Parts: sequence; C-alpha cells; structure tokens
Amino acid sequence: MPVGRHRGTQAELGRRGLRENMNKRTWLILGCGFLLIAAGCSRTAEKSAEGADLAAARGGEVPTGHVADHPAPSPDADQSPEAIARTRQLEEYLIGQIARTWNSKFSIECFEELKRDENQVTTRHTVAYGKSEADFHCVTMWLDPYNKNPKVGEITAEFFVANGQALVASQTTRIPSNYYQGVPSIESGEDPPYAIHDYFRLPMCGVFAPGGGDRVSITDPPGSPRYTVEDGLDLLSWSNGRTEVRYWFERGEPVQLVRVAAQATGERLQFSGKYDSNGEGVLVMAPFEESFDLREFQFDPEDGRITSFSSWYEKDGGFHRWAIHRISRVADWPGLEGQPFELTVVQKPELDKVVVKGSHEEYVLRNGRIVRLVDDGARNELLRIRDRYRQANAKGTAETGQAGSVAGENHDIILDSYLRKSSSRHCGVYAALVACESLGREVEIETLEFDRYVSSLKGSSAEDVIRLLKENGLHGFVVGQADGRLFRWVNRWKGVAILHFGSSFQAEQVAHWAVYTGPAEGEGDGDARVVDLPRPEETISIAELLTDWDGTAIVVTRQPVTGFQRFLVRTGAVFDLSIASVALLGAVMVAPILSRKTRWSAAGTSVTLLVGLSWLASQFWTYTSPVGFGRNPFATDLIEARTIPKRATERMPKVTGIAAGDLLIDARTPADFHAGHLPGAVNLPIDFSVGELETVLAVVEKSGKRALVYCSSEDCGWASVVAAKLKVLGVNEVAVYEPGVRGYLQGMPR
Amino acid sequence: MIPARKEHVCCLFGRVIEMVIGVVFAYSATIHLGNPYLFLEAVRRYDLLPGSTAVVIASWLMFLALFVGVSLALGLLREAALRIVFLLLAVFCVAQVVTLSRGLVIGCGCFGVDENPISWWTVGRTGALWAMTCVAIRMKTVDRQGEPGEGAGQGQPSSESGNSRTGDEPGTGKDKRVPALTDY
Repeated sequence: MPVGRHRGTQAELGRRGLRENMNKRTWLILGCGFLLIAAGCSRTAEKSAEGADLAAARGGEVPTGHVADHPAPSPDADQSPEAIARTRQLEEYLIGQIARTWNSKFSIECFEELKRDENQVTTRHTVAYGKSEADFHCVTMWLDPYNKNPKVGEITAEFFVANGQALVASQTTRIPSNYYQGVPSIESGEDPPYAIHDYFRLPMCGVFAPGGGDRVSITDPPGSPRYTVEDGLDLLSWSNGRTEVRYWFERGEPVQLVRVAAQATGERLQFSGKYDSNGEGVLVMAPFEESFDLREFQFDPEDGRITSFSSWYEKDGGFHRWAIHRISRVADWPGLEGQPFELTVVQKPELDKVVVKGSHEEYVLRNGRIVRLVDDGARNELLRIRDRYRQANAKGTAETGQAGSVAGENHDIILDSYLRKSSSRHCGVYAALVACESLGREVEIETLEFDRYVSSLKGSSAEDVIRLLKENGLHGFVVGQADGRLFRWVNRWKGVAILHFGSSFQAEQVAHWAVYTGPAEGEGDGDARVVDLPRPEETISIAELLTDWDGTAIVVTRQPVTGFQRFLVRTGAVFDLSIASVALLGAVMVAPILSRKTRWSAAGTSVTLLVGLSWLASQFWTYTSPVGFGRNPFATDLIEARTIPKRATERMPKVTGIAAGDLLIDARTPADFHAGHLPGAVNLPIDFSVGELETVLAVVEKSGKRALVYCSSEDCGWASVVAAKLKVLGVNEVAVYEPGVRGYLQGMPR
Repeated sequence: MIPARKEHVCCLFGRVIEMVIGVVFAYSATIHLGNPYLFLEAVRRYDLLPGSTAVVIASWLMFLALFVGVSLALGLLREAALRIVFLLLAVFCVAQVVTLSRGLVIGCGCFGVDENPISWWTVGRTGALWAMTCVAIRMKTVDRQGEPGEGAGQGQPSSESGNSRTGDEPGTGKDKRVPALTDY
C-alpha cells in the first residue's frame, strides 16, 4: 500500500513558504527536544507542530494536509481534555459539513470500539444528531440518499478517530439481498461464496483537520496494519467537498473509481481517472499518474455541495493545475439515481475481478490494476425491456411478437448510443436475449451464464448468438452483405434481426450487436425500432441505421426459414434488377422512334436514353424512397461530416480567447474529457457517435451561442475537424479555440 | 472483309465479355442501392467532389451502373452501354490513380463494405475491366463491319443483332436501313 506523499490544497500552495518555515520550526523543536530529553520531549514537539496546523485552521487558515507533518494515529485514543475537546470539535465539524454536503436523511451512530468485520453495521447504536459520547472512537453515518427508491440499500460512512485529530474513515454500502441475484463469477468459472457480498467497503484513511475552514485534508495512514482491508480490495475512495482524496488498490498504484465515490456521496463527480485503450477496443483504467497528487474542491456554501474540483500536479518544484472538473448532482446523472451498486472481489494470484453490481459494471484487475471493463450496465435495461415485453404479451398485444412499441417515447439522447464507439463484451448475449423476449421466449436472465455465449475477448460471435437463440426455441441464420431490403423480409416473417455494427478499415474498431425489432408503428415507413442496450428501445430512421450497419445480420424467427426463403433474403436485389429491365425494354422500344425523329445517331440516342433514364430513376429514388438521400438530409450530412476533407478543416476560423457566452465544445476523447475539461464545456469527440452528436447539436441550438471547439493544445488538429463537421451539420457560428486545454491552463492564475 | 466463321467467334467472344461486364456492374449497383449511404461515403472519401455534388453523383452513379449493367447483361442497347461503361471505367481508373498518388487510404467503393484500401491491385482490376470493355467495343465494331450496308453483302446477321425483327432483309442493299433494336 502506498504511503501518502506530499499533498495539499490549493490555498496551501500559496503558503508553501509558510509551511516550509513551519517544517523548519518543527525540526528545530524536535532537535531541541532530542537534546534535552530524548523520547518524551520529541512527542511534545510533534504535538506543538500539530497545534500549529490546527490553530491555523481555526483561524480561517486552510489546513495543510501535509501528511508527513502529522504523527501516526495511535490505536490508543488520547483521553486528555485537549484531545476530547478537539474530538468534539471534529465531530461537530463532520456532522455539520458532511450532512450539509449530502443533504440527505441521516442519523449519527457511535461505536464504543473499533470493529472492522462484516457485522459492524449491525451492532451500531444510534445517538441523536449532534450528540455523541466524548470518548467516541468511531462515528458511523447512515444515510439513504435515494430514500425515495426502496430498492436502494444504505450507505454507511465510518469515521475512526484516534489521538484526537487523526481520523480514519470507511464506507459500507448494503444492498437488500432480495433485490439482486448475484452473477456467477466469470473468471473463476465457479460461484465461490466470497464472490458475492451484499456490501462493499471503501476504506478511507487520513487526517481531518477540524475548524471553520473550507477545506479538510485526508491523507494516507502511515502504514499501520490496522487500516488494511481484509477483503482483498483496498480501494481508497472519498470525496465530500472538503477532502483531498486518493484511491488505490492494495498491490497496485493509485487508481480512481470516482463513480463509486460519487454514488456514495450523493454527488456526481466526473471520472477523474486516466483512461487508455489496450488495443482491443476495451476500456482500461490506467493507474493514477505519479504526478497527479493534489486535488482542490470548490464548495458552494449556499447549498453545501461541491461545484467543481481541480487536479494539480507537481513538476519542477512547483504545482500546476491540470484539470478542472465540474460536478453536478445525482439527479443530473441519468440512470444513476436509484441504482444500487456493489463491489465484489474475486482474488486469484494473477487475476482479480471487481464487479459493481446493480449497475453491473465489471472490471478485471491484473496485478492490482484495472485492465478491462467487462460489462457496462446493460443488464438493468434488459430486465426493464423484459418486463415491458412480458407485460405486453400478457395483455395480448403481442400478436405480432413485436409488442411494447415505444416509438418516440424513449428517444432521449443518452451517451453510449447504438452508434457508440465502445461496446460491451456481452452485447451479443444481450441482443439475443432481447430477441428472445420480443418473440415471446422467456429467458431467466438472472441465472443465465453469459460467458457460455462469449467465445472471444471481443465478445460473442454470430455462432454464439445463434446457439443461444436455438437453446431458447428460436431460429436464426446469418446474412452477410445484407441491406435495407432485409427488413422487409424480417417484417413479413414477424421476426427480428440482430444487426452487427462492425468497422470498415477507415473507421475505429467497433464490433457491436443491436436488435432491429420491427418497423415503427405510426411513423413513416423509413423508421425502425432498435434496441441497443443499455439504451431503451428507440425509433430511428433506417437511413441512419444504414450509415453504420455493416450489412451482417442474424435473422431471428419463431418458425424455421426454408432454403428458398433464405435465398430470397440474399437476393433482395432481384426487385431492383426487374425494375431496371422493364425500364430498359421500354427504352429499347422508344429508341428507334426517337432516332428517326431527331436524326440522332442510333448509339447517341441510346446513350442519351440510358443516361436520362438513370438520372430520372435516381431523382425519383432520392425523393420518394424512405432511404433516399433527399428524404434523409441528416444521414447525408452525417456522411459528409464523417468524410470531411482536410482542407475544409484548415479553413475553420481560429480564436485565441474565450468570450463570455461562448459554448465550449471539447473535441477530445470522452475519457480525457471526464478527466478534466474547461468549465462549462460539452464533449463531442472526434469520432462522435450519433447520440453524442445529437446531444451537442441540441445544446448548441438551445444556447444560440457561438460554438468554440478546443482540444488538448494548438498542435492538436481534432478541434478543427470537429468544428468543420459542426459547420457541415448546420452550426453556422463555430470557431476553433486554438490554445486548447494546455493554453487555457497556462493562462490561469496559479 | 471478315470471314463468317471468324466474325461469328468474335461476336460470341464480345457478347461474353459484355455479359461479364454487365453482371459486374449490375451486382455492384444492387449492393450500392441496398445501402446507398455506404456508397455515398465511399464517393465522399475520394475527396474529388463537393458535398452536394457528391450526393447527386452518388445517387446517379448507382442507377447508371444498374441500367448499364442490366442492358449489357440482357443485350439491350449494348453499344451505348459499352460506351458509357468505357467512360465510367476510365474515370474510375483515373480517380483511383489520383487517390493513390495523394496517399489517401480509402476503399474503392466498388462492392460494398468488405473492401481493402485502394491499391495498385484495385487499379489493375479496374484497368482490366476497362480493357475488356475496349475489346468488347472492338468486337462490336467487327460485328458491324459484317452488317449490310457496310459493303460486305455476304455477311451473315449476327445471332444477337436481331435484324429479322426489324423486318429488314439482309443483303437487300438499302442505303438507309432502320437500325435494329439491339444495335444501339
């Protein structure tokens, strides 16, 4: 476990000189003490150093949070009147500040002794708010930030006080056991008893500096074995607006899992980990970089919530601001509210797994680092879809097997849309299950072994999907090089189609399955209903679907499809060819007549006929076909934006300053964006999905402001590309903020 | 004067080439019509046409290829179709060479999505089709040299010329013959 390094808050940075002086004073006192009375006086000297810190904090000064300056918390609590008074003050501070921060229903409970076993939360006793025993060692805070939702369990925060000012904290979340049935362990292939817990614990160790200041530091414990966690997960996680935090795994370097902390605190924190790709299109949560060791929280005193926080790093002897994170409430985070979560750790010599239940996120750890995001929370949506289908079937509205139409109902744009650039490894299984449910085959999702149908690291093959379908009494066959005509056959057979979104060589590597469940009811004939978990079923135009579908599909039906029918599907172009032949025969009939009357040469007449006929046909198709270019301007714009030439990007206007009212658009990857972005910016990565694009276009349209696109620095060309794409897509006032993040930060006061 | 046997072989050979080219074009066109947006993207990636023009050209090219392909495959308006194909393949060939010289890594957009980037192999393939078209046009010329009115008099009507359907008797020496339906 890494021991705390030099850290502090922003205000502390401005007082580095003072701190250094204080260090000198400490050492001077210590030295004197050593010369006078060896061990006893040194203890006195340490206390005086702490007193200096606390006095500074009480006087409105910001505590230093300098771990090395604090003594190790002693298991034996100091019972001196001074320590007790300090503890009281600390307690009041914690109760007041944290309660304000969480703004939730809570109660305060005390323990008479420190316990770190699973039964700890069951042995508590409650005291009234604002009161506690003077010699308390632990404050347990129970809260239910989602108390309107009975599904959600409780979150317990524990604060262990030692020696009057040192404090160790942990959190425990309990999920009602009747809400979630555990998922068997994927990596171990078995279901060990320790793999599924109904709680998880996020230990946080450190020092709270009480006082009236706005900031509190929590730092690493100085290596006491008392603070290690027995569960194998040693993740440090905390944020409440006054804290300086680090997250780490026991055997690895610090990592961030801010989402968990965000749920625990009832606040939304943007991801602040640094992400990278491992080349397989899978998310990797990289360890916190060595230099990122400082964080500063901005706090709104009015409503007691965190509004933003900044990351700082130390380099060349100085501190630099690296990123600013804007924070919003849980209510602003779609899908989070009401979702319980749980961490499960399966320990193996080389491979660990962390499962965040409820949201169904699964991370694989190697050597203490998270190397893979296995699952992405689609299962909840699958359960909802299942319920909807079953309800519809029960009502007898599912005669066609395509019940539960939600045309237009759930068209809210959510990130991770069907055109998302990253995909879950289980998307094939999810798609097959959606197909089963929509065709009336009930599958016990809770007990299904997903990994039986995932034959590679990238996910399920078509063979896997078909096997799952067959085991549930459905029939499926693969169609390659299919096109929009396929949907006619699927509709005729009252089936569904599982579409594969692969990548051509130009695009980013994508391999994803989503389900076409039928034509949109009450919509135009060019609209389709698509389910792509974790998004709910939605209605989109077939033209938009065609812009990304790679032509591979699995047609799923209740009844087996004959060979001739399969042949028909694969030769859907017969219709086009027949029409063309008839038109040509007509032209052949007309050609001699025209040739005689106009004195054209025979070949000239024929060329004119062919060219004219094709022109007329193309115009007719453009404006009458459901997938014609003329009827789907957004899809054509999308293609145009996707293929924007370089010279167009170079012509984009560039600015070096941000005017009040500009709408900032971050062109970097979502991971970089979540790691930190300019205040008020929205993310539109260079390889944006349709969902991301529509979100940003809506924001731009609503704001009516000039869109200012930026990326990491002026050497980064992504901003120009995204700006050019926006221009193509109808955003007239758009420019490139040339300095980018780096330039912005260089221009900030330090 | 071309011997009848040789003329017959030439006509047959030319017809086979026409059918091959026609099937290739019709196949390509039907794929593009199935997912026109992929074809539009392919056209756009050549970076030779501005946005709105690329949309118009892409939609027109799909249908032109379809009609040309079907006409060659069915043997209707063959000469006109061959001329158009000759022109189209020449343009495609030049576009691919330009793309290669510009260093763009894009697909040729010939047959749907499962494509490799444009390479000299792709250029060669297009060039081969173009050469076949030239041969077919030459064969057609040979075919026409044996027709009445060209002074041959002894030439037999080709199997696919269908002169009998026009009501013209071969060898009658009419100066202004009415062209056959499939001669265009």
